[in-house]
Amino acid sequence: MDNKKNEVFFETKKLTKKFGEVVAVNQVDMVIRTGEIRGLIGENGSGKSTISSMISAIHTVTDGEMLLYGTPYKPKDPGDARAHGITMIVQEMGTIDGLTIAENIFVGDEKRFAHHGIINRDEMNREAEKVLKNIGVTDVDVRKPASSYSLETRKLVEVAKSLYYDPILFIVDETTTALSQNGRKIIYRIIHELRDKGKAVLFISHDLEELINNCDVLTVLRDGKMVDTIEKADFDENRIKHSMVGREIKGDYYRSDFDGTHGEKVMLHAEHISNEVLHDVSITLHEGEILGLAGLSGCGMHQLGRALFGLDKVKEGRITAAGEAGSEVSISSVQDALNCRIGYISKDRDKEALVLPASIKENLLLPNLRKMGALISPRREKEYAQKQIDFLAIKCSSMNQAVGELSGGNKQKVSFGKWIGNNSKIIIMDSPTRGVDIGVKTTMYQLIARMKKEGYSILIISEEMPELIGMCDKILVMKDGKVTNAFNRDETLSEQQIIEYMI
Amino acid sequence: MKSITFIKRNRNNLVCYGSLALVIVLFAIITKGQIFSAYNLKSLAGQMVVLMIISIGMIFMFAHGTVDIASGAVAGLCTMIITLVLNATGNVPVSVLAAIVTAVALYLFMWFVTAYLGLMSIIASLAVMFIARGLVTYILSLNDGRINIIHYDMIQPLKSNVAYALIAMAVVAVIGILLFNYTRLGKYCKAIGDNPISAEQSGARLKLVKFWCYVIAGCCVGLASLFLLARSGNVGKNIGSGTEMDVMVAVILGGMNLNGGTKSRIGAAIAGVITNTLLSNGLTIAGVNQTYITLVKGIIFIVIIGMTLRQNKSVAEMPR
Amino acid sequence: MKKKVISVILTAAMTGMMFAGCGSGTENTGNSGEGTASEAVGGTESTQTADNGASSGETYKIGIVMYQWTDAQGTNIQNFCNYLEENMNVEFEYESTFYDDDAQVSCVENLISAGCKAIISGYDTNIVAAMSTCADAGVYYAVALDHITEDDFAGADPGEYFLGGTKQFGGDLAELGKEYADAVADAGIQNVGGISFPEWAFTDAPEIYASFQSELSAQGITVQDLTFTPGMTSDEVQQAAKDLVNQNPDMDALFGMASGLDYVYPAIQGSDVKLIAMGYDTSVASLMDSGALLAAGNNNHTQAVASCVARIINALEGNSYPDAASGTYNEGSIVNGVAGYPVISNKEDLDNYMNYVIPEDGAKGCVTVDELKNCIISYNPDATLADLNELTNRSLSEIVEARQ
Repeated sequence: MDNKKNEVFFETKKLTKKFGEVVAVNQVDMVIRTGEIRGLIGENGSGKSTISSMISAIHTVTDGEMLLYGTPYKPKDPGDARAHGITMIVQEMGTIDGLTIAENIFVGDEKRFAHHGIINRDEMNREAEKVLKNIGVTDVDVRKPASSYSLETRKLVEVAKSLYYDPILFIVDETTTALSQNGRKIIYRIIHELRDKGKAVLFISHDLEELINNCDVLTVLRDGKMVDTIEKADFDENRIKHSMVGREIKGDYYRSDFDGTHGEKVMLHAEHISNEVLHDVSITLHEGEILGLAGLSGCGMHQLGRALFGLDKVKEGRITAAGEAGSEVSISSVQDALNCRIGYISKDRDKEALVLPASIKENLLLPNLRKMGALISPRREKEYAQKQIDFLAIKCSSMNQAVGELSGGNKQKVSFGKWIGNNSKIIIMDSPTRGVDIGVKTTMYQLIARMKKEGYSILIISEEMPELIGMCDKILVMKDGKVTNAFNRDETLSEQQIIEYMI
Repeated sequence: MKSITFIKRNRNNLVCYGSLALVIVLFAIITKGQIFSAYNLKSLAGQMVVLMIISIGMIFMFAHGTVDIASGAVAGLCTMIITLVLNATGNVPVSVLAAIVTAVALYLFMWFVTAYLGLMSIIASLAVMFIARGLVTYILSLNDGRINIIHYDMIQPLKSNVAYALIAMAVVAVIGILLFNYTRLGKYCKAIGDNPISAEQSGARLKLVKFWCYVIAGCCVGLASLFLLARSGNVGKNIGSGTEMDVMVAVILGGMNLNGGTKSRIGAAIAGVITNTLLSNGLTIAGVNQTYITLVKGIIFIVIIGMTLRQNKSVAEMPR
Repeated sequence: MKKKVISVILTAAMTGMMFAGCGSGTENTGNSGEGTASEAVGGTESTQTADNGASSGETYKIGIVMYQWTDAQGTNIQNFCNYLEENMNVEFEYESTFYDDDAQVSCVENLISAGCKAIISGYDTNIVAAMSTCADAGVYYAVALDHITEDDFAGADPGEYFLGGTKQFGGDLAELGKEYADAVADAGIQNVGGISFPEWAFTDAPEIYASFQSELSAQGITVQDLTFTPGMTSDEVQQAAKDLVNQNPDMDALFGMASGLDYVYPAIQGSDVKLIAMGYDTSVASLMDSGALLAAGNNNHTQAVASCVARIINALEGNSYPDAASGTYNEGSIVNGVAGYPVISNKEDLDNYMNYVIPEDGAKGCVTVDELKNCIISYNPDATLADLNELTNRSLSEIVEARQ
């Protein structure tokens, strides 16, 4: 393998992709050199994932061409791309639940372990362990099915699998959003190692900070066009944001005020609750309060969110919410929660929060059906859906478009809309801005701030410290199913202070 | 350009009514319009009533993700209940009520087994199928293999007067359409078929929604059995057998995806049953040789399914 | 909105087509019916000018419903019907359904829609419902493969459109039992068992078997009592047959009355027990050669269909037999025809059966057009039901004699 650095080895020329009438990628000329980490940034729908999908042959090229070492590169399928030295980690889950970790790593390539048609499992497992060890993962039993591991571990398995084929170009497509700090560190280390070995990395992310810290060159896309290429020396957060969005992003990305006050009325209250994951947790959410829950992915904060919505059962303790007419209502089921006007946005948007094949209209209506009477008139449905679509500025071809066809940010807007529309007063948001680009994030934060002013009580569960610090009136830190500390809104609050109580 | 997007958006409808229109036009030509004779239209109504009522009920099952294979056997058992009660009391409404209660009870048994014991719904319906079929065979063996209806003249009009069939189909179809398209139940049902987790988090009570779906299915099977009995004239061992397959064939012809979900359409039952009945009727009237009739049916079926399946591919590639 | 528009348009289009079709449909059927009728008349005249001109010249379209058309019975009936179509003013339309009473009614309706003026059914299970369909449409209905009693109508009036059933086994069960007994006695068998479908399904079995039993007992052969199977499926019959053989190690032959060749034979295949079968299929020749099969037999479907066709043509022409009310095989007020049951117990029988009972060319078969016409009143004003019954109840030897 050629280990020279700074040599142009991959080029796209007027690369174009159309989905029907929609131009997703518009005549992009891009050059990738060996030994660089190339960042690709842009809002949702700007064409980042489409470009990477064409390079790795998941999508076909509509027009233009790609060159690998100066010769036309036309991969037939992902396997062909892999044979050319190009591998990719996708945004979605790339492992198969029923297969073991080892089988997942070698899926499609089992033949290498076959002797007279019989696959030698021990050999496969040994090889799988070796592959994982190469990226520094040692605490995984390759004989267990993929489903028994967390999202994060499975992502790392995918990384290991991609690296096994010794790629010259390694594409990381929004993988880090699914990972915790720890997992991210592993990815960062790996891509730096690859660069040092003279390989190239195409790194796609929504997280500006991680791109600035890790990339050598940034390519900015907007509406399918390449608008800017910035060398490391010229990295500047404002310049990047500006070229991404095409307009000036105002300074107040998060809430600009540091007024941590809120109403006195207790809206949602958990008293010493315990179950398999939670241990004696108490929290209180007031009217007009934004409460944050911080912690590592296994700390129980997600389960706390589910328990507060009545999804997970509580063994000890009690959850109450303010009912109509000032009464206190005990929450033990989703129905109780809905009666108390509680909404819940799951962190797994595609699997839990939304019905992907259903239309935007149907999704928006779902939590509100209880209130629409015995016979639901199609006209009322449309009015209701249109109101939410307008209010949240959801970009779609029509309200009958399937939610699965929307970009991540617009999907998230729909899941917000479900609960804003049905007059919920308490909204539990689990990782509300995961996989959402800066433009939509800004809108979300402004929306959350506005909701606070309108008296909504909001619980944000997030692994992103800046977001919690920027938005919340109070942050509870969780570790091992317990609340370890609480911080009130404060200008001087730093990530370090919080992380101390998480680990 | 607009027309292409229109076709894409409405592909489901086009398949559903398109295959119906195709079959109608095809047989209108082949039989030189004979299928539209007054007598044949009357016969068609009589021939589709049983399947239509059951299929409409079954849409609620398919939509929420349950494949039910017990409908034929349960309908068979219900015809026996009607006969026995009618022979004992001479009262048609009471005997129909008894049949509906029986069907609903059996369907609720399936529901209970599925919802509370966590068995796959198809296993539960298989069990109910055996129970119902076994009961019919057993009771028949005590009665020389066949139970005659003493008061056949009381239900015979249901067969000879097509108005009853038309009214029953219309009433069931209207109720079905209302429930499926314009109420919470139908909407929850479709959401559950695609994503039960999301539906539950949005306030659908999974067990309760399914409960009502099973009740609806049971009511339809019970009611349909009255027409089945009127047409059969007595209760024999094979009564109602194969109905469950006819239902599936019909709704597939109507463009229904048996996995359920948001693309489920109650129209699939209505258009599908008409298509399915026309197929058999038209082929006979057209004088197609009995030796090839199954083959011809199979080919037409595959052509229609081909059109249905292609639609699901259109979403394969989409921008992110 | 667009969705609605398209469904409305489609519905409108369909309704439109229905009405358009309705109008032209009647016209068309009328025209085509006349067309074929005159053609048929032309054909008939050229070949049968010698016959009297009593026939009205109209082509009668008759529907036939059977369990299936792809088996030996279906082929046999279709061969005979093709022969009749070529030589008489009749036309046949076929339908099939497998033991489904509701579907049977649909078949009847479809045949009526196809223009049939009379229907011959192999079925007798849903006679009340099928008959009411026919009566409503003014179409005649006759049952070919079973005789009908007043009980079958459970007190209902069959009405003028019901033309009766067809008595099987030549109308004489004892004689049939004796024929089978003769076949066994010749083979030097010492111990015989018998197996039949449940009594409710095969009501004639006990009587046939009783005659079979008494005939053989008189000759000193041990005959066990008849065993009934618990159900109608192949598995149930096979299991019952196996049990019977195992419990009686001395038994050297088994009278398989429950679909002998298809269901019973597999149970005794390979053992020393010989088979006496009610039933016939293409394996008979080889099984007889090997000695595993002592006798086989089958309904004479040609005779059954011929009997129905004669009665149908009479009814369509407004005629009835003078002796209709006193037919030998009548059941109360219900007129039944008759069909024979040839028993095959040697190579000669088999050859005769194949040549004269189930020939491909109907002209060589057990009922010729001329013989049949002789029993139809419009051709022969003196025809009686007794003539018809005699024609359709000829034994194998009588048929052979008539053809040679």
